[in-house]
Amino acid sequence: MLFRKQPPAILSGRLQSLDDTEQATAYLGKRVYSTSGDYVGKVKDVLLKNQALAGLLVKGRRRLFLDKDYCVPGVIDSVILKVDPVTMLRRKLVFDSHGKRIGRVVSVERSSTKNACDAIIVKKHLFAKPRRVASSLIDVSKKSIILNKPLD
Amino acid sequence: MDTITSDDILGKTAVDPRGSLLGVVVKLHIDNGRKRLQGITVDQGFVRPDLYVGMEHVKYFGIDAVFLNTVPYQQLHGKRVFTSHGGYVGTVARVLAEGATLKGLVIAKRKRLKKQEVEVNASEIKEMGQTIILRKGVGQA
Repeated sequence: MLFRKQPPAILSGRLQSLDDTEQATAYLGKRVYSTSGDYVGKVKDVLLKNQALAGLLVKGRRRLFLDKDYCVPGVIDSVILKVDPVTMLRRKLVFDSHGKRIGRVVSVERSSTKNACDAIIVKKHLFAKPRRVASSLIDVSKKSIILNKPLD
Repeated sequence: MDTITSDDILGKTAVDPRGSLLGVVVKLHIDNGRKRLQGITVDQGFVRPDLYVGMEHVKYFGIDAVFLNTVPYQQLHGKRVFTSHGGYVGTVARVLAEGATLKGLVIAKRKRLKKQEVEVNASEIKEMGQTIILRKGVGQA
């Protein structure tokens, strides 16, 4: 139940009732899971722009702003996203199609703030030269990344 | 001729089709009568039991990893289950499978000290990752 006893009095030129509204505080502290079911983080804040909901500020391994369009509407016990955030590709192991371990993702190249990556930067170990792998070579990107062709 | 040895298999990481690292290959099982490789045993770690994978579920012996073509559904045990809107349903108590084919899950949830079990068909599962997300309209009380 949204309201305890009596619903609050409404002073609004736009809304006649509060039935289809949600409380922003309902999102705070809720766990966020990607569309694949992977844990992303917890909601730290709800951000507004021009007095309308812009998105959620999530704190996992890093802080992440998620646009409201990437979130499934409504929250019960947790927030489910419509996408797998590309920022979660970091630290994942990368194998090529021949099973050769290429390394770990150290960063993700993006040309915009959308949930799309142009390439991943992979390093085999701390002192190795970073290697750029185009996103078109990625076959599977769930728990680890498997490429669709062998790399020399 | 593409021949590999036991050194090329033992000690390699087993990876399922979702990219999950299952563990390290520690044993090879050979059919003594037919002199053929029957399966491999994967060490899943300190607490978890070893996993036997038959050769029909091995896709490829790679350079640094062994790729499987099936997701071992024993991994699902204990995972949290949510509806498509983020509602918590429960945790996986049992996995219903016929061989390597997942048929469904039995989800346990506690309601006021009472344990309830809900059965969910495999077709009602949308995604299986760190948690399991059900399809729209499933599991919503």
